Amino acid sequence: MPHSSLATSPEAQNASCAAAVRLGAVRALPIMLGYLPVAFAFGVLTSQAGMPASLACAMSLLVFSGSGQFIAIAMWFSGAGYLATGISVLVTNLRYLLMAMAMAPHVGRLKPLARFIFGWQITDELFAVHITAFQQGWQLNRTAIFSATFLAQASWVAGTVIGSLCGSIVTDVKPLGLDFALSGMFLALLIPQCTDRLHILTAVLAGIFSVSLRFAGLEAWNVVLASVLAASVGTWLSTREKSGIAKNREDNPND
Amino acid sequence: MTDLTSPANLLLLLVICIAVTVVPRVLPLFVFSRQTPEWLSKWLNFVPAAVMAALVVPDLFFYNGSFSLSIPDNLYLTAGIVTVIFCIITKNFVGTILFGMIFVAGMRWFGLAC
Repeated sequence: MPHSSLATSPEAQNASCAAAVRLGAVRALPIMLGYLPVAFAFGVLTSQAGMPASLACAMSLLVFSGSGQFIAIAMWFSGAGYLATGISVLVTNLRYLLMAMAMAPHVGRLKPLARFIFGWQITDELFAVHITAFQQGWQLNRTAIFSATFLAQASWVAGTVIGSLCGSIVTDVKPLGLDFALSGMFLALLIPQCTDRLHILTAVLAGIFSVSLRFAGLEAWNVVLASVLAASVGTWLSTREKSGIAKNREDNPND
Repeated sequence: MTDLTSPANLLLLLVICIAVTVVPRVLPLFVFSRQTPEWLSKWLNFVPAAVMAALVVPDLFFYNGSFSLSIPDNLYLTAGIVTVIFCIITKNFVGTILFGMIFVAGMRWFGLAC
């Protein structure tokens, strides 16, 4: 959105629009690099399981969730049925509730339809890049966020198309290190999140909880439970710390 | 017995998957779009760091599906540690991701990990 009066001329608006698209593309690029091989693997998996390519692509377009899609396919083709598959995918997706709650105050200005579409496109990675931008004080720009989300989604669908069409050709993405792209991106987003002692502690606890819960066999639950627990400990400690500071101030008013 | 590959059954599966994915993603954007209570926004302040760590840390410790603490055999844990150090020093987002990928590719190239 143009803020200065200079930006209201058509040329300036075009320029700011191009800049917004570029910003979205820069945010989406590492995500696209990571999505392509994973979506490719999804396409290969579904075609080998006997799912029509059209449905596999529709799933990538409309569900747009790596973990959800892989779990759905694994459970469905093992004969788990609609209910068990649906519940497993729902439990795996509960983390999106947390992400959307954190995102809600930042996208309240979007019109309902745009907010609905943006919500539909919340993936772990798109959430991470956008919440980081908002926390750094970035002002919501519709062109920029949708450039990022649609580019990421396009790469996810494109990877699925390629994978389901050449499912028989085994291609190894490991030599390029592409399989580490998304982990690398999460680390690059997580480190700036650790702004103070309590946020570092929260992240460390979330990691420990998440690994422990996965050890305990709660593979679908580990992310959401670990996040809720760790964020709650962080909040509890911060309230306690603040009341402690307030108490110290009362004791030593000149401090 | 349900035919697992019939398009009609797969279509119903798709609809179920869409429903259980879209609802948790979209619902909070409409419920919490107005003023959020203070305790909630305090809590939400810790959510991004918690979610990101809860997502990525298991990926580092469960390389190829099995838990491993050995370096450099667990390539992701090794790469994760050096990537974090690189990120803290350079504070460069894209550089960090590229560094991680090149490190992983390089370790494989030189046969130090698989």
